[in-house]
Parts: sequence; C-alpha cells; structure tokens
Amino acid sequence: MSKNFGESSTASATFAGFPERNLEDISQGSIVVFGAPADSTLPRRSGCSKGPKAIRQATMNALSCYFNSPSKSVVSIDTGKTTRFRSEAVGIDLGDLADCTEVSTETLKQIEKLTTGINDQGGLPVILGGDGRILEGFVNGLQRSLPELGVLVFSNRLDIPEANDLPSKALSTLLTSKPSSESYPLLAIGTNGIQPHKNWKEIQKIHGNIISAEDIHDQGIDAASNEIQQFSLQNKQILCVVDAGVLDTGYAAGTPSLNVGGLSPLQLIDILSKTNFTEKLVGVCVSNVAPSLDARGHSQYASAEALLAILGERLFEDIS
Amino acid sequence: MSKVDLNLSMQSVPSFFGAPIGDIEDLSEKKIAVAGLFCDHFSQGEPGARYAARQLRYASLPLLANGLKISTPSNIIDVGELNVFPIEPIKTQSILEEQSYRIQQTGARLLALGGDYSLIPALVSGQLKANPDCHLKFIRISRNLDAAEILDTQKNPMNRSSATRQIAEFCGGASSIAMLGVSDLSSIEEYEYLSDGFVRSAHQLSKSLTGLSEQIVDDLQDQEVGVYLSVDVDVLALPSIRSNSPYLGTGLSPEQLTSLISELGKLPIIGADVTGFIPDLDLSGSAASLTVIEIIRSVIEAMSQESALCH
Repeated sequence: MSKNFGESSTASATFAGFPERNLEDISQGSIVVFGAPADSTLPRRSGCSKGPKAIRQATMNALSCYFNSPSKSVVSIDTGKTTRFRSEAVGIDLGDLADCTEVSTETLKQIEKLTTGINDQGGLPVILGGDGRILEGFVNGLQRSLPELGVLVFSNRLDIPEANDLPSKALSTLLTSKPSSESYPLLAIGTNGIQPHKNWKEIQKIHGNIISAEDIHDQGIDAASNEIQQFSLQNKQILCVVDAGVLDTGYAAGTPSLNVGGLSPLQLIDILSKTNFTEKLVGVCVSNVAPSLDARGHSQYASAEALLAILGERLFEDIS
Repeated sequence: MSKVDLNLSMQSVPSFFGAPIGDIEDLSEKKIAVAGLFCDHFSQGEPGARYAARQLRYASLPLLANGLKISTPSNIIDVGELNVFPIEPIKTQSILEEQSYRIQQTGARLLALGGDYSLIPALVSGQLKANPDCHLKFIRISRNLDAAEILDTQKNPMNRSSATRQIAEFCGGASSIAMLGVSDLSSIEEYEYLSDGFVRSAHQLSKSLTGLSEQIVDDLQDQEVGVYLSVDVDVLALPSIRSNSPYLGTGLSPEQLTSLISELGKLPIIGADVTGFIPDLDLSGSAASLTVIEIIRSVIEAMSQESALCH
C-alpha cells in the first residue's frame, strides 16, 4: 500500500505502512505487528474489536507529516531538530488473528503461541488489542523464552479485566519469576480510581512500584519518567503495555471503562518521549481501544502516538 | 375564511448569526458576504466538514434566541452556499474562482465557512483576479503547512497537501505567505519551501503576539496590500473540537486564537475563510459549534476593523 496517507485515506492501512506478510517472513530484529480483535464483555463496554484497525489507521495519520515529505523527514520549528522516519526499518504486519472475537482460554493460547513464535524467530512482537485481557496470553508467550521479563504498564488499573468465564487477575500474578530484593519486575504508571488493596500489596511484595495519575498531576511527568529510567536500568528485557484506559475520559472516551482524573494524551506521550528503553524492548502491547465509543477519534490517535514514541529509535533517527 | 386565534412563536430560517439572507445583487462595499462551502470531497483527512456551514447556521439560532451578548453584525449578508461540483474538481475550481471574483467585484468581501482547505486556492485566485493591482498577502492559521510539491494539476487540481504552494504561486512566491500556529513537526521540504515566508509555531505564538501584524507586512509598507485570512480549526488544542487533522494535543486555545485573529484585524483583510471543522451533528456537537462560532465572530470583527497598517 502507499505510504502517502493522502492518496490512500480510504484504503485499509497496515501499521506504519509495513508490508503485510506471514510468520515465515520474520527476520532477526524486525518489528512484527499483529492484531487481536477480542471484544470486551459485560459489564465492560464493547467496541475493542475495531481497535487494531483503528490503531493502524491512526498510526498512518500520525506519520502523515513524515510520509508527505519526499525524504521522510520533519523539522521541529521550535527546536530546529530534524528527524527522519527510517523507511528501511524492518517491520511486517501479520494482520489480525482470525476467530478472535472475544477473550477465551483458546484465544489466549493462540496469542501465547504466536507471541512465542515471533520471539523465537528474533522478531519484536507488537500486539494491537482488543480487550486488555489479551495481555495474559502475550506475557505468557514472552515468558516462555524470557523469564526475567520486566513489565512497564501504563494503565489506570492494577489488574487485567475479567472476560467471559475468566476472572480478573492482578498484574503481579502474570509474572512467573520469583521475586528477589534486587529485582524490579513491574512498574505501573497512571493508576487511578479505587483499586483492590490486595493488588497494591501484591505489587509491593514482588518489589514492583506504582506511580499514580495523581502523582503525575501533582509532581509533573518527571515523577514517571525518572522512575522509568530507574526501571530501565534494572531490567534487561522490557515489555511495555499501553492500556488506553489510562487516558482521562474527557480526552479519550474510546475505552471499555471510564477513567475520570486519568492522564491527558499529551502527558502520556511526553512521558514516553522523555524516556528511552528501545534497546531493551522485547514486546509492546496496546489494548482497550474502542474507536466506536470516541466519535472524535482521540483514543486511537493518542494510542498510536504512544506506540510510535515507544518504538522511538527503531522507527526514527535524529539527522539534525 | 374563519378567523383563527393562533398564538405561535416562529423561529426564523437559520442563517449565520441571523444575518439577512441575500444574493449577489444585495452586496455592496463594506458588506461581508458570508457563504457556506458544502464540499470536502478533495480533502485527504476525515470527511464531514461539508456539514459545517449547515451546523453553524443552526448553532447561531439559540445564541440569538437566548439573548446572549451576541447580536447580528450589521454588515454581513448570508449568501447561501457557493456552487460546487463534488465529483468534478476542475469544474469546482473554475466556478469557485468565478464566484469569488464576482463577489469581490461588488466591493463586498467574502467570508467562506466550512469545507476544507483544498478549495481555498480557487477562492484566492478569484480575489486576485478582482484586485490585479493589489499585493496579496496570504495569512494561514493552521497546524499544517500544506506546501507539498504540486504534482499533476490536470488530474488532481484541488489538493490540500499542496494548497499553500498553489496559493504562493498565485501571489508571487513564498514571501507572500504567512503561516501561523503551525505544528512543531513539519515536513522538511515544505518548511524549506516556505523559508522566504513567515512561519510561527503555536508554541511561539502562545508566548507573545505583540507586533505580529507589523512583522508580517514589514516588507510591504509602501505598497497597496490586501490580506486574505484563512483559519483552520485544526490549529486548536481543544480535544472537544473535531477537525479533519489528527489530534496531537498541542496548538492554540480558543482564546489565543481569537486574540490572534483580533491582532490581525490591524491589517486590511479583503477575504477570509474558516475551514476544517467537522460538526458532530449531535447534541454534544453544538458545544463545539458554539466555540467555532466565536472564532468566526472574531474573524468578522477583524474584517470590519479599519486597517491600522498598510494602505
């Protein structure tokens, strides 16, 4: 497909204009994107099944200033910094998992298997959700070969939601590694609202940390970015999770549950832009984007911008 | 016929700010002809801006009915929608140019509302045709530069991504262009093309507006200058406004934008447009429409001001 958004606005977009390929085409170091369009179930609002497609399109829109440039370069008018989109960046889009309409044990197994396959072939798996529950399959898939995984989660909650007959699970229970005083396996950013006390305690027990949305509103984004740097120093392999539910409902309403007092899109993107853990990245999960619940389209734009900021140097280079 | 005692309250036909509805023969000098643009077919972003003019007319009604501190500006006439041919770009370009020219020839000034930026080069071309001796300065308030290379004008004569470059060619080069409120990140080729022009980012404008108008026309003090003002609501940072550009969370607040437009009122504005607004067409959409109406009101005020700068 054309990388010029202007010429293909109605065409179905792949992530960042990557070619659509199969599992056999994965090469060492490539970014491998796939969608898991599993919808949320009651009592959560439905709409996440359209998330992967909306995130792909929003990513193309967010990159339009690069794609409108023949040299794929943009200049910052305020700082003079020039950045180029790496057209040569190796990446493929596998498309969406078929028969993945709702989260079930079977769906989670499929995600786990695919994630393991991508990881085994040296690819960087990027999953586009889908309900936040897909994270369980994704983490399990990564942990098969990466037991020392550090998980950086941007979410308003400290668990993954219940779905069908699967009960909710605390984030800390997803990790299989045994806690030690030197490990720092989990950092949750943007927690907001009432959270079960047990989940807080469990995170402390495994030596994880929580930076709440209120901390960020009070102390600024440095409270989060400084902690991410610490987390990055102590982990060799980082999985980054962006649950769109971390965003304040006033800015981005397209999520299965509401979040009053959450982060603004600019806060989320600024935090990610200020930190650099690209080299240690072993997986990215973006979930809980329900575009039909956000007529203004900000939820998918903010999620796409966040994803591009996470992939950072893998997609962009400074040529100032 | 029997006499019927009816106690009915009738609402007038919606028009911009409740302005009188007229046609080209009702226009004269000092008048502002407000026209709708029912066309977003050549836009590269999300469609929907074609409904803006209709929504803005409807949203004007409660403002007047509720007696908010808004009165119909005495110098405006709602001339309806400009004619367009949505699937025929060459014909649309030609007829927009002709209508802009004819309105300008009456001595009135055109304020086009709705639609998207791809239509504006045709309107500017009509203004230039009507004012051949005037040096036209084009001021665009938008997040995007839209100065990409012009490709096949025969195949695609109306293209938003190169609209600024088209206008620059009509006006005698990039030095006639002022781009205000631009997003921090812009295509390097487009930025370099506009290096002779005047470019300020939203961040730079949010610091100070002092002396901005003087700086824009600094090189034209002794010439007969006309200014065309083009406002795209994509410049707003507000998450509640839906425009046809991606939301990035940066830009100007409505207050900063109206202050900027007010500052530009020092210049002799001979034509203007407000484009890019996609109304939600529902109840929540009316709040956004009211914000855009305030912006349009500031454009009308700027157009009505006596120019303090230039001839």
